[in-house]
Amino acid sequence: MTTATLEKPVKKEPRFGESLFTKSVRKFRRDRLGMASLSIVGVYAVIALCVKLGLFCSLDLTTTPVGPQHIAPGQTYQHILADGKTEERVSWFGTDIRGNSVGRKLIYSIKQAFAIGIMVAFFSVLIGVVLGSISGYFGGRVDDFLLWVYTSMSSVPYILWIIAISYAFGKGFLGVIVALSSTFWVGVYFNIRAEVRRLKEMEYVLASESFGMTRMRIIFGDILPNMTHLISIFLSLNFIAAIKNEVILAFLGLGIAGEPSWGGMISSARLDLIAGKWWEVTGATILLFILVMAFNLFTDSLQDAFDPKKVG
Amino acid sequence: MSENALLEVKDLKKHFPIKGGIFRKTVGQVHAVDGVSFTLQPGETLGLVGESGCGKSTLGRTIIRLYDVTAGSMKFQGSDITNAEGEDLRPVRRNMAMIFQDPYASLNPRMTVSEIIEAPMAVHNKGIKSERREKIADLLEVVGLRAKMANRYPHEFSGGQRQRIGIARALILQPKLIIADEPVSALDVSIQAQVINLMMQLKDQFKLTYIFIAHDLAVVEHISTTVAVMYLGHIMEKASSKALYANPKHPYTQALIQAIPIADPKKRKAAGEKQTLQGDIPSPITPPSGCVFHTRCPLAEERCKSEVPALRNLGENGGEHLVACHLV
Repeated sequence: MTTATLEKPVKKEPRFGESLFTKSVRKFRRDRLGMASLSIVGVYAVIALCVKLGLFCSLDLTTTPVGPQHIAPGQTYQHILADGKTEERVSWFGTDIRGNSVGRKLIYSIKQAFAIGIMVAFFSVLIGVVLGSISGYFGGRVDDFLLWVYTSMSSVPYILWIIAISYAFGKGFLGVIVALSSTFWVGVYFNIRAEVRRLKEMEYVLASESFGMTRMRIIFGDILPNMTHLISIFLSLNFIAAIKNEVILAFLGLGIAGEPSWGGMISSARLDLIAGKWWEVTGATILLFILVMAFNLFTDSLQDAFDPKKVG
Repeated sequence: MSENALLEVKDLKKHFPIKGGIFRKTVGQVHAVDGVSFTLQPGETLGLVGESGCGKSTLGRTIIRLYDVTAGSMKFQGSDITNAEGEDLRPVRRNMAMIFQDPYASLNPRMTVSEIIEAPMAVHNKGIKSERREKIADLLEVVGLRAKMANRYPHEFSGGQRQRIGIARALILQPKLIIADEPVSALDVSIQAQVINLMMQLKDQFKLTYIFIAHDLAVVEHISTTVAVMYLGHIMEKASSKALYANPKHPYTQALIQAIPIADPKKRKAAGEKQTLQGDIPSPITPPSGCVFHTRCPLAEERCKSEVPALRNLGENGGEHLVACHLV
């Protein structure tokens, strides 16, 4: 004899004690487009890391010719082996004007892009957040001065700043980083300043002041944690902007000299394009496009998921 | 009388400069609080009422020294706190606390409830971790929440519950004076009564003194022992709650009390035609001369425009009933 047992309905335990951050992460993980773009960015990042660690496509391989110049993608060429014999090989991505592999240059450039993007994003956001917080929270003379710097800088087209600063620092990696960081902090500064001024009037900040919390603790405990969404969005926006602007700098002859980068490839191959040698420009443009696109979508999803007004 | 007064405010003024032009010169002043004097005895509950923009919140924030004082003086527990800084300000920070209006803005959304309530203790180095945790748990029960809620975040609570958390934070250092800045204005009417009753119960339990700011006379009547009516940075009338509601002397107070809706239709009829105030509250940047209320006062005479009325005691049988009006 069997007794019918009533199945207990599975009662979903309500989640308690969940911080806004974990809630946001949960929301982000449900966002398919966001997750897809994040995984594309992730693939790029892994490649960049591997190149950085020297696992493949080291600088040596990208700058020593592998074969004849201007082989079109998919064509075969005679590769000279160490013992003098030749072997038929296929060049999948073609070669450039010096006979270097375009494929290797493209991969190596991913590392370059990430190096520029991460460093510029980090420094510009760091400067912007520090100065913006000081300006917004303390106000007074410091605020007047910083605001004046901001107004002066933003009344000149930013590309002129970038060019001027990178001339001053000379060509190369450092020049690009300094030029872009010292220009991009301005936008971060202004937005952070406005947000700090808004948060400073929030009652929870007044509450902290009313029982005597120090200003530093208020900034680090009450104000900065409530701007993390803004900070992370500026990090990703400036990351993208830095990569795009490196292309412009390279086009103007102010990019990273001596090492391959997408900007360098696009600018050096622009004359080849007229001669019908399209593969170098195309490859660099496509890789750049996909990364920028994926990162922009990722930033959008980030904004949706982490804006406290939308999480609640 | 003033020997054991908890708080003595004398001719307190708080003006906010308005800056303009390229060189940020001061082009005007907002006269938010313009010469307020009162004394607060321990155990008293002073209700501060007035229309929005009359300076009642600014007065509260100036007393707790969120704002610097423009002029006048304040004595708290016998010592002058008008311009206290650093170490001298610590007693104020420890013995005064504030309850805020908007329960959705008064709790840091990134902190758990226990972190929020613990913060004042951390600032004043009170107790060790386990003692603090115990105290927080006790206090949560006292304000009508459960101790295990300590690890939750503010967004997991309703408005009324959040206000209870704000009250717990105000109580944690066992202050003498609590300034409640419209603590129930943002809550549903059904929740308002609960929070008010909680505050009254806490007052007896912890021997608190309140300054209770509100724009709703009915709420204030229930909780206050003394009521002060403010208009444009000035106290217009101050009396015991009973005397003020039963026998309002200032024309502004009379208008405010008449504006309270009467639920019972019979009583409403008996009360007769309502006299409502015309016009808006004048700009505090250029307050009217003489009596600040003369622009809207139904009784105003010529001298009201030039002479500032002093607060006079019109109390009967020794009670204090201060009125600032030439005509009563």
